[in-house]
Amino acid sequence: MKKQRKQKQLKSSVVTGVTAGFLLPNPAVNQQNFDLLTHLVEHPAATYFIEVQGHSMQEAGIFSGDIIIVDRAKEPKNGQVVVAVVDGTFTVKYLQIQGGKQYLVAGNSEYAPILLEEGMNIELWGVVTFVIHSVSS
Amino acid sequence: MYYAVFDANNFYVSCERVVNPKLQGIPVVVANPGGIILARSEEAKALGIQMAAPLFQIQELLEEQGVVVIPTHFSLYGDISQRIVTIIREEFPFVEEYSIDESFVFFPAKGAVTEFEARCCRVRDKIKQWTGIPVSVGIAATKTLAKVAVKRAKKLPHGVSVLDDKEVPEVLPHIPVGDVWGIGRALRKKLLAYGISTAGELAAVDPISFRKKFSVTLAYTIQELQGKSCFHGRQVPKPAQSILCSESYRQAITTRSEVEKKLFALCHRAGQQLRQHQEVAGAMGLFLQGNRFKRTGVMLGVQQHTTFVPATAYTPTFTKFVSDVLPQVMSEGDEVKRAGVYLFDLTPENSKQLAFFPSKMMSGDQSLKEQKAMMAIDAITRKWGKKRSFFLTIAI
Repeated sequence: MKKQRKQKQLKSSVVTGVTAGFLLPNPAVNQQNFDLLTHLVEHPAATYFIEVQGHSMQEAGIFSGDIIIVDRAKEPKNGQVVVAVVDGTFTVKYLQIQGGKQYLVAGNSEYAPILLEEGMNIELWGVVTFVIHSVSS
Repeated sequence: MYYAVFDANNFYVSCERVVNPKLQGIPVVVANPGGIILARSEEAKALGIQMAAPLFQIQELLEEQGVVVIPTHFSLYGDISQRIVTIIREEFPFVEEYSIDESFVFFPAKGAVTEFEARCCRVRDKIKQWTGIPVSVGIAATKTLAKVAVKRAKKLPHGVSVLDDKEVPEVLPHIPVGDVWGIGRALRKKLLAYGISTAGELAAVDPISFRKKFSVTLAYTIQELQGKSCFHGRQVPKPAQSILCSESYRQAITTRSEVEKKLFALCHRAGQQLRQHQEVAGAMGLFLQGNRFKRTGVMLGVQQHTTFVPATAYTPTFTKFVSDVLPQVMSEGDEVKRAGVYLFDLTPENSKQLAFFPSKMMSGDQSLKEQKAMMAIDAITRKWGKKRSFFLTIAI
């Protein structure tokens, strides 16, 4: 579990629209003062950073060792990636709402969906808003 | 006029449970490096485990009942505490942070307590949703009565309780005098000798005659029980388990040297409170907040924490920590709107725990010297006011 222990300045300039190796500066973003945390965190008081272990969400682009940004202030909606606590363990799944029923679905067909029912020891903990994935390692 | 106190339930345990859900529903205690219990879950309380009990004394019980013992993570507690205050502040701009897990808010309007209660309920639910921490809220005409109300709130499922003026005479006779905010063990004994064993009996005495026999603070407590608000601002009858001194700045501060000065002053104030109650701190934290989250208007800032072995009440130790870590957390030009200093893990001075590593341990002489220096500074402060002695703290 990684927390917002060190919110040091993460200033860096932003480039978007990388095509064929050209860096196109985004004029909409003030490059001198772009604050990555402001961009990634909408509700600071409700946001947690969590390091992911396991492979059940690879289809969603979440790999083992990635850091996900989780916002507890957001209402979980159908199709969103959520963090849930199942029997005391954190897990990352898609939330599917069908016919008034809620399912936790893995982004990997090897795992069976979990139907959320009354009396189960399952808590929807927060909504995943961003994934931080290293592409160099 | 009403006060509300927001009091987090079993705060350190609740924080541990947010980041480790496996701890839900089982007996959990949080213990400091000296093996003293600082927080208990409801399940641990039900087993009869006492606050501040040394682990070794209840080793058998812990093993038999499978109680999980967690070491302290003050950086986690400080972080979550600031989240909670941020959420309260969104609804009530004037929050008085009393300790790491308790804050007071003030509601000036007369009569409409239901509106105040509804707003407090909303904030409480938001804190639970956003941070995962269960908080109880007590509402009453004074801070001391709000503390009475919050005890009742902890037993309610929705966690909010209003103690209105009519109820006070019925409720107070059932509260042991030692449970009243600010009545410590020694004072309780003295009051018992006067035949006062409940809050109701204390509320019935004449505060003026008790001011002479005891102290101004006790006279205030009596008046507060009678419904007259006396503890304003930083005035409180006793320190909590942690001390928190913070300030907000209307004009953001942008130079590091200026922020350092402000933090030094906060260290000085915290250290003074600590020594006034003859306690020492085992850990310390500082935080800075600024306009880094302009978009949402919500501020959460940087934090740094350290532990002291052995525990200390020496202000220069606190200010040294500030000087050491400030360059890591603040760049020149950062906008600081709030700054604060926490002291955690407070223990009575005379029961100072021995350090694990003898090399780090201070010699008796050194410790005595520091104590004398602090006594002198506190005496000067009392005589001349805060500003005068401030330069002394830095000069040491």
